Amino acid sequence: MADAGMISEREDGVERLRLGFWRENPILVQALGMCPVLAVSNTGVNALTMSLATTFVLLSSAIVISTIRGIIPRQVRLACFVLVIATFVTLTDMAVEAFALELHQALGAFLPLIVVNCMILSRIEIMASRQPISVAALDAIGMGAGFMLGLVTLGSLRELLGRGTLFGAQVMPDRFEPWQVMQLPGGGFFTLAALVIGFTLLDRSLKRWREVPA
Amino acid sequence: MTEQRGGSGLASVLRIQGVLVAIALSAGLAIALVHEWTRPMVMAQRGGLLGDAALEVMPGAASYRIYVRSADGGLRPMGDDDTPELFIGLDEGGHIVGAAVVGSGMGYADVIQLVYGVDPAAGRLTGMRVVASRETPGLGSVIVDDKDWVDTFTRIHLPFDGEQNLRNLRVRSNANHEQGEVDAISGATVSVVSVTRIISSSLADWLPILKAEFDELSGGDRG
Repeated sequence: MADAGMISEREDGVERLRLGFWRENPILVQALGMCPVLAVSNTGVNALTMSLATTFVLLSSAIVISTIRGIIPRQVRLACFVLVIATFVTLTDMAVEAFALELHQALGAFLPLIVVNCMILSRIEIMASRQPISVAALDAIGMGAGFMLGLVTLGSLRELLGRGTLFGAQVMPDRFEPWQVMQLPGGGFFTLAALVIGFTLLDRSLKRWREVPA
Repeated sequence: MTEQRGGSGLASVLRIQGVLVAIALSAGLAIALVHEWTRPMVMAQRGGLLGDAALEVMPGAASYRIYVRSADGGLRPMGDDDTPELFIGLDEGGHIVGAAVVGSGMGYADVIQLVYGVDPAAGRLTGMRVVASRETPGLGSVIVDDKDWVDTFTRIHLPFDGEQNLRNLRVRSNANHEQGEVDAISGATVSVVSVTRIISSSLADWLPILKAEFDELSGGDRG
């Protein structure tokens, strides 16, 4: 029996996909999930793995919650959401440990901590628990892609300037002196601030460009 | 009406509990299945990591033989279904140069697994590496990341009392390594104490075995 309080007007899935990636980007606009973003963005590989893991958990949880949303009692919906999210986080944690132990150790406690990533819980509460599977899945993919855009950009910049490499490959000339600060927490904050400013300016420019009459 | 409301309330509670139990059971089943599937792969990778760590804590070792404790309290070579417990390090010529013991115990967040090297004849540790831990990033994780602290384990002597009984290692600020003391780290007290406790309790088990069997192992097969 569907719970009346959880029924919402059907949203446009493709629009949700676009919004999650750009206009409502979870990192660069909504500033959600900042703890893992700043902690594991010291290299491109760490950032990519964390964003893939987060996207998998978000997409899987959204599909499951959207599928069973009709039978979840409103009083215990948050407990059910956390139970489902925690299950997928545990499965992801075990899979990464089995297939990439070094990466698992590099990500440390932040992989299990995906369970308390507020971006995931908010998308489940706002979209997956109220929308059909197709819309919930497209929203999750959009948000996951947006999370990946922010995190991988941040990780790549920090690795490039802090180590002179990109995804482990040397790209800066030998005479380049790595900026150690970029690998430290302070470097994470500076780079994130610069990215948010750059993203906002780019978004405004694109808006103005679209508004100019042909 | 009252009975109907009571019945309806009970049905609602049962429905809530039923949904929670069904989700929890499904979650448990999925986790158990994936755990069984991934466990052999994790153990194989961990075995490789343990071996690499063992070579690092046994100076001069180029290869090793792996042993486990047998039912009679002695040592036997590791079988296919065993997990590594003791590494005996061998140099290029196949001579025994040291031993590395696998220890584990509870840390701040989860189980810490480590390998420490020990020279039973000299009565000192030869190194320590944490192989698995989930200590708090930036705090407890220094037991892995703080290279200076990790390196102090190459200088720690085993503490014995007047009757040559092994005492526990102790955590101290400004530690005297020759007295079996481990440096404390501000912000990582629990993790440092856990590592020290794991090594102390493991040494209490293993040192008598190592002292008794070390010479005999010297005459065994080369690894």
